[in-house]
Amino acid sequence: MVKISIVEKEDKQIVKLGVYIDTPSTPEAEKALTPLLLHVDKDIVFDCIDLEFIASSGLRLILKILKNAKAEGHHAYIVNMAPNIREAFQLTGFLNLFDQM
Amino acid sequence: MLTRKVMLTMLATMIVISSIIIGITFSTVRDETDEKYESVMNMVDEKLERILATEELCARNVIDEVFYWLDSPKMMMQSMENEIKLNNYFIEGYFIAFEPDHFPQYGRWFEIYMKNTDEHARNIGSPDHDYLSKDWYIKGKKSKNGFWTDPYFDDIGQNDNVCSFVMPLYDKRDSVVGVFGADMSLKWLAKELEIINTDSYNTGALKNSDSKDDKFYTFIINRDGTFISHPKWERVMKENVLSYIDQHNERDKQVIADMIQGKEGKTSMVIDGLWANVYYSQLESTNWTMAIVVPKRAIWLPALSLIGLLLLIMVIGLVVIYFFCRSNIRKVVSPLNALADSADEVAKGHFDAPLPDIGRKDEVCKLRDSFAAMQQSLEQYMQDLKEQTAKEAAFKHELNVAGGLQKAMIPHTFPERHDIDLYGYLRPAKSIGGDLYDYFICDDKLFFCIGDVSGKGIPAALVMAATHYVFRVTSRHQNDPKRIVEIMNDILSADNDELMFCTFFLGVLDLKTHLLKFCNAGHECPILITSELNMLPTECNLALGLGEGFAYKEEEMQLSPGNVLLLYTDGLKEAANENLECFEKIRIKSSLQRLVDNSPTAAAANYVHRLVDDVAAFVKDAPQSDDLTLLAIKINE
Repeated sequence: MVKISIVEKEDKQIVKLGVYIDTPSTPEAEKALTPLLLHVDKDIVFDCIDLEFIASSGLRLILKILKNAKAEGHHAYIVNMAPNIREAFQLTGFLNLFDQM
Repeated sequence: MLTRKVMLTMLATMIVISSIIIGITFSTVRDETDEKYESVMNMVDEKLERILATEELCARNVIDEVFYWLDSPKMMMQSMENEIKLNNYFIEGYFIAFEPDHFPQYGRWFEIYMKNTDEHARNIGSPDHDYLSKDWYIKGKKSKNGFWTDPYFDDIGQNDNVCSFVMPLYDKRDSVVGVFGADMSLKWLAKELEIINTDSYNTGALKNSDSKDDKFYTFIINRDGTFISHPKWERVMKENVLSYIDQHNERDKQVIADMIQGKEGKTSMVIDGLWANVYYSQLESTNWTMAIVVPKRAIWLPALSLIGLLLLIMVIGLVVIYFFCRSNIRKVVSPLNALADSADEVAKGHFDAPLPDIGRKDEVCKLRDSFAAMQQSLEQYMQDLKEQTAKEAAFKHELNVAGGLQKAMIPHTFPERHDIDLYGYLRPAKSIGGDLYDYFICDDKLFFCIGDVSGKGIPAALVMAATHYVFRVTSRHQNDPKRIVEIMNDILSADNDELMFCTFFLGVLDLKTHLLKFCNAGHECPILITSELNMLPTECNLALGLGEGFAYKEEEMQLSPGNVLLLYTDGLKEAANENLECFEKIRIKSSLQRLVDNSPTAAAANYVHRLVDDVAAFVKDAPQSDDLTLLAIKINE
């Protein structure tokens, strides 16, 4: 199940990612994140506490939001990654694109 | 079949209804007939009473006359002669019996007797006919208003069984001087009864009755049960009614007892061997009981004939309904059969099978029309499906062609050199894929690369082709991995809003010095087999296509002969079996280790094939989920 939630908290938006984002479920995730794909007006924190698996299409989705945030001058952070998730972000060099908390 | 069902249901219903109607009709008619016969009995009773009353009346009238002429026997005889002429239908005879020596001239016995068939009255008093001791005489004198005697055999007058109405004769001084009587013949009474019985079929309750063949009869019994009157004349005065009933039936015996006691009623019993309804009542004047015996057949016959008629009508009705139903059901069902046959034809694939023509506009016609609509839409659907399938086949063909083009981009022949051993393998999961590898040798330098485009299908294939050609062009003009990768990244990042990235590993190996320069753009670290088997540590640069101007870090590693560099895409790591277990790095390593241990001098191809075989053994029948790409480079000298 995709189960993505966006929570407003003070000056940040917490995007809690669901259990997995694989190729078939990416459109559903995209739908859930539509507002952020259009416009980012705050700093974003990607919370990966429940995330167990992410496919490349999922990675692209997160990167798109990251680019939007950067373009509008906001920070993007990524936290609570499981080891395999961290590895995926690290290996592809994506991890370095995020800001450090 | 439908006809049979309907008919059986109708038959069952008809039987139930018939039974109910029969039951009701039977009991109603039977009760009515019963009432009819009860009123017949009342009529007979009344007529009998009237006869007896008439007898009494005659007697009383004559006695007045006699009283007038009491002193003159001659005149009395004369008057009796006159009187009897008037009443000789009812009266068998009159008699007057006098006290002993009332008329001295006649002596002790003087009885005037006038028979209705005689010319003259005569004296029948004699020692042989000593009436003085007779019951009727003694009782007659005492009875105030007269009484009816029991029947007796009149030896003198009638030679017949008679009953007499007897009254005391008073003189002017109110003393009893004798007894006056009027005789009634039982034979005559029996005849009268027969007339009454017959009359009831012509008038009154039994008029238009159907049961003339089952006639009722009447009998009369006295206080002992002896027959006073009966159609069988031989029983009169000789037999008792009790002889003709079931001696063991207490109920029947009680009925007779009631009759004799003078009760009124009706019962059902076997009498004289005949099962009948018996209606009885008392004749008050004489204390006799009259009864009419109606055979059961007479009670039931009217009911049965009516029932017979009803049944006949029902049977005729049933037959009519049967034929009507059968023809109508057939009319409806036969087009259904034809429709079913057409449906079978359509099922075989003949979508243009003709449908039966149904004349009338009813539910079956509606079914046919719906069926026709379905047939048309089915035909349309099949047509659409054919077109769709053709389009898909065409598309699949295009993909195959595209797959062929992709395959052509990947080198499948490897240089036969003594210094380097090279082998590559790419097995896409579908007809087109997103993995690539490439190499070329120029100026004693081996340029090689391996890449994995994100995603699947046509988009990944497009980016794969772009990456391949960008590599080929860029590496013509650049020698440094860093520069090549940076240029490739800039070109691939341009207009890439979708962020379709490609992980990429580029290496340049100096064939003379064995120095390897490389740049890893987000790809899996290769395995380096030296004296040990390890991952080659690399920088994690950003994958290609995600943003122009990224500064890539180039690295170098000094290699020596015997070293094997193995590059792969994550299709190897993530090859899964049916239990969704992945091959994982650990198995990659152990597989290679085994080969290294067993054949330290194995060729590059061996490494590749060994891994391919081990993955195949691990995955078994599970479908391939990702492109499997391997590139092995062995330094020989």
